[in-house]
Amino acid sequence: MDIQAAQVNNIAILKLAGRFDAFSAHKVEQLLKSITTSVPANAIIDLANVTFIDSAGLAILLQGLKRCQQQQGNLYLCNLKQPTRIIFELTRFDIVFSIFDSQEIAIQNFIQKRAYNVSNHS
Amino acid sequence: MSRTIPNYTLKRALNTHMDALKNLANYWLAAGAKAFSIWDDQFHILMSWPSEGIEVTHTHADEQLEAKLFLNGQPIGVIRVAGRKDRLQQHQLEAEAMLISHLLSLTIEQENHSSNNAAWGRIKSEVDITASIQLQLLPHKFPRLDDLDLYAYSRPAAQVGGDFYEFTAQKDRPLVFAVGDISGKGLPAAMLMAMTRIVLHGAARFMPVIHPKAIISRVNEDLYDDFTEVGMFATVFTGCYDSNSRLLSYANAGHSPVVYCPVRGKARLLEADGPAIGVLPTNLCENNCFTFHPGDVLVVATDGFNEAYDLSGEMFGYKRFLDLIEELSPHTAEEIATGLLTAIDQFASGHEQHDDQTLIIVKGV
Repeated sequence: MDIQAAQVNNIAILKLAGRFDAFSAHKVEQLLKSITTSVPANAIIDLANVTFIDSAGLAILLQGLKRCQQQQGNLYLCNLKQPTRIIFELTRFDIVFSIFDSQEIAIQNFIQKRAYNVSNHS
Repeated sequence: MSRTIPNYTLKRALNTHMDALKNLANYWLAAGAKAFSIWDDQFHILMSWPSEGIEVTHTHADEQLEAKLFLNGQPIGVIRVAGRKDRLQQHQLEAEAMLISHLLSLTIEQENHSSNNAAWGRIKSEVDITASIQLQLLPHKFPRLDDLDLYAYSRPAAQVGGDFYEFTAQKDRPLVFAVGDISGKGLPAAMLMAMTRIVLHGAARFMPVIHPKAIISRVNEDLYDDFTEVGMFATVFTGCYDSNSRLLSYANAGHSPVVYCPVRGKARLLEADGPAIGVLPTNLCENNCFTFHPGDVLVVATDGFNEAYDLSGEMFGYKRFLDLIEELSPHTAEEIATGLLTAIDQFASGHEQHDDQTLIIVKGV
């Protein structure tokens, strides 16, 4: 599995490619662990080039989501292609994660939420 | 009598599995036990629940169950469950004691030889034993009902996995059956599988009113924190069948594939309406209900079937699975299972089985 990591507006963005299964999940797990040490921990996982995801891959994403939320942040998914989308729908993980059509929309969502929080606290 | 291991080693090994043991104890207490305790072979108490308020002493034999813990074939301690013996299950405690024994021996082995590579070979074989024990723990005798033909089978992949199936049949109560798949592999998956089965079975046996949604919610509430702790989840399908009304109700927590094939009809997937156990603090599954006619077939399998690969890397997939069930549906439950397993074997043609394959077949008679 190929992973590209980037940082935009204090949001960690991971773009994954290939099969996301028990054999490749470990690398993503390590990266997510390092991301979720900061507060707030915000991450976007771009699944555009993921051809297949199994339960080990889903477990890593779920763990990442729970950790981000513990660290007052969130983990968004974007760019799900048909085979991956079907797996999310069958397992009902589609109602657990916030899923966006593109990275840009996911980033916008984080920024809007941040603005909302700031205006609410001031 | 010579002691096989020092007491502090046993105690430390038990401590490593404290959360799991505590859960086990809580299960027994919820099921009506008065106390759950672990003793060494010299009758010194090592752990007990509830931690205070109840005196845990050597109670009368009619009022407690006992199961021995072993290390390398030697008895090293005993688990005691105090309570009304007629309400508690001896074979279940023995099964749990066996699993705990193996976990303890692994932990102690790992501690003694963490720098010694040769020991890993032995640990590996212990893990294999754990896998085979797990399989033995699954029920091999299926409940007999006049209006249902039942069959279940599970075969593990090379590495210990977390598939299971479960039947609970009690007089004047609906039959409860379940298939589950713990995400991930290895001992954590094995341990959580055992815990999920225990809690599920307990809920099916002891809840005053049983329906699938209540069972799933109960398992989720009891184990959500444990699953979160280890970063795993379990997809679980639970069905209840009432012979009087022929009504089959089910709740599906993220599990697939579940295939319903009505007599002379098209096979279709019964999709999950809520995510798996351990995903959300409150499970969102609902009860679904339909009349189960003679000739109807329900296949609850795990993803080891549809995710089997052939040599060219092609996946078996849902379409083939549905078509095959439709074709096999006039046969008996056992023949349907054999037909599915044979078809998967032929498709994979020597490719190593990389995930557990487990199924329950329910057929209306």
